[in-house]
Amino acid sequence: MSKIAFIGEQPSILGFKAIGADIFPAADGNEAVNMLENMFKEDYKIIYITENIAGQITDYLKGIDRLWPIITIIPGFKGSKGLGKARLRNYIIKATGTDMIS
Amino acid sequence: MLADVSLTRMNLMKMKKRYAIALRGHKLLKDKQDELMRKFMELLEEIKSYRQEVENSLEKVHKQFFWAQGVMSKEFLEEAIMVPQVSLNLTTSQEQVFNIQTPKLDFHIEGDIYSYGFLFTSQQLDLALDGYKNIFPKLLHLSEIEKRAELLASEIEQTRRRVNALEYILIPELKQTIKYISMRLAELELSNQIRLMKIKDIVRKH
Repeated sequence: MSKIAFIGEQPSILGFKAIGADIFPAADGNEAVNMLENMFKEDYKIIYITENIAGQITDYLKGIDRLWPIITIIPGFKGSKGLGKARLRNYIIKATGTDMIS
Repeated sequence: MLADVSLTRMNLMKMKKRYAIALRGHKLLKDKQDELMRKFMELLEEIKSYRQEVENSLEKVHKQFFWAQGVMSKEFLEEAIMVPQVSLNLTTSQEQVFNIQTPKLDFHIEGDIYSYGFLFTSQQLDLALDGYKNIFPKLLHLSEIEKRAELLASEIEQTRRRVNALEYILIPELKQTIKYISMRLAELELSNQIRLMKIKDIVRKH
């Protein structure tokens, strides 16, 4: 088992299988949440989620407060929708109390 | 003002000591907050450009992979990559930034990523896989620094709350308490003295 997992629509993550990561194709947010819950019990260190799926479970992702695994949002094959940057903005709001980039 | 303080000199001394410590703690925490903030801002700049870079190159690789999917049949493609002969070795450790444990990642890929025969696969697939391999270290680094930013953000939030609690609640309260105690003590002393003078007067009249 690899310590790195990808969750998302199949075309976006299939390529990562070739370099040895585990891939978990998910059709929608609910499925992805179930997968994540299972992964927390295993020894995954990094989980990448494509924007399409992550967009459906933003609230769930916000609630996760743990050091491992690291969850990172990557753009899917449709290109970036800016979700990763939105997450960054949340950190800024958390740290400063105000929205500094708008 | 702090409730339940008895008006004694002992208490006054205690309060003064607490006040001094609170001031020192406030200064230290404020310094920590400033430094955390500086680090956080630096990190933000790095992440912003890095994420952009990663997203752009990932898009390119996705396109290449799509192309490969276009020119090959789906079965062959999946067959070609479903059983990779590479192993990803990821070692994780923790690095301390201030009092925060931040994750540190280190990895290397072992084996050949082209785990398929060249007969039924296209050149585009080779290119795409090469792209995925090249982008992977960048993805890992992105995860690492984004996690660090998240941890820093929550630490800053915590420190900010502490600084504010000290600055706007504890320190003013202590100040007021000290003032209150010392005023009441002075008052008591004054009334005592006047009582003595009065008694002396009465004694003298007799």
